[in-house]
Amino acid sequence: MACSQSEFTQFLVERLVQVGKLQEGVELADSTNFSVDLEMDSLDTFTLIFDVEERYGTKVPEQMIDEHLTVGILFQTVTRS
Amino acid sequence: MNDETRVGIADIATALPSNTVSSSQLAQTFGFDEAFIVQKLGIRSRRILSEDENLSDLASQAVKNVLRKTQVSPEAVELLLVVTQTADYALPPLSSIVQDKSGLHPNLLTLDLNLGCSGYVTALSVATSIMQTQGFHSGIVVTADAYSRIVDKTDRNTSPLFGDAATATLLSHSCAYDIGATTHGTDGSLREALILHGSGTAREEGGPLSMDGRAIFNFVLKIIPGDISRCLDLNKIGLDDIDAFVFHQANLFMVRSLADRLGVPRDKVILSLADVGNTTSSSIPIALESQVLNREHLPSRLLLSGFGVGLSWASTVLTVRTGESDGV
Repeated sequence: MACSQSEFTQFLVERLVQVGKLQEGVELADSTNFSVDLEMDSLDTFTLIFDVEERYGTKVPEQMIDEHLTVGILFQTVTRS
Repeated sequence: MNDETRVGIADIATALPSNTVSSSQLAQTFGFDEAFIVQKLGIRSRRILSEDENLSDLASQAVKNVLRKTQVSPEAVELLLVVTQTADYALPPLSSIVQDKSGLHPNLLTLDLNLGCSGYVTALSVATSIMQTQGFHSGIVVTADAYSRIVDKTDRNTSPLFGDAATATLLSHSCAYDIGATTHGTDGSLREALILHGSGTAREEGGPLSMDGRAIFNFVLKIIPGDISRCLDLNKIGLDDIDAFVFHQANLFMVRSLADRLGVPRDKVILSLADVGNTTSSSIPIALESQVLNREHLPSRLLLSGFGVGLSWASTVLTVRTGESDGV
């Protein structure tokens, strides 16, 4: 899937602001951890991954969705699929 | 079809086990996160069958309750359709046992429907079709499951979610709600998402209930909005014509995610799982009994949508019978 990292990050920011997991104006880094930094539980992550899969027509493997998942890892997974 | 031949929902009764397990107890015993269960899944407690109770006892109690509520004689019931996946025995069917224990006359049609969370809506469709074809006047749809008997009590993915329950819905020509056109669907390629291995005749190892929560979540958000849209089209109405939405009460997060996906205002979405948990096929009738049929003024139109094991799904529209809007 061809997409730029900035476009991908912008999509994540919009979704996370929408669901109250990120304040407007706060930026995401490659190292931002969904579980630790954004305090997202497994169900929050399911929802975000679902939106990412729909938007980019990709499938994020189950084993990627754990407490180590970061913005950068998710971007790499989406672009490699 | 006029009201004399059309069959609809007259009333519903629920039977719950007396044994209550709170989310606080589960948290203490198994180290679950109580806040997650209560706030995210929306479940404070659930009812669990005790060791000396069988599911047939609960289902029979629900039948007796609905007959008492409606003052219908046990001899008048011509159809008993039982939706269950956790019958007392692999054979005979649970409906045979419930016929006996609830005192229904032997001259009736009994059958089991092996479905879970889509089962109630499917059963309404099947039962009304049979009744109208056979010219039956009174029939009962029972939903009954005891997932406490098949889950691993230490499994944090399944154990906090499910509760045991049974309901009985009386269908008759004199009714509160007419049942509209129903949409159905099954995608068996997704069957592994919710499965009890070793419970049938396939030569495989047994085990407790296995659930892939993410696969079910994705299935619900991908498939169910389209099915609801198809159901509304079939009934020639729009989303705005619906006064209340009764989705399968899988958990609070799932119900709200589906509502948001559909663009349905949350105040139109019925919730009834806080003190019973996910009761599989009983979740929709419990919601109808506890949150709809007890209202002084019945909502005019309801949308019901059930989805789960199979994976399968079914949706329909209930319309209040004219002249019945002041209660059942």
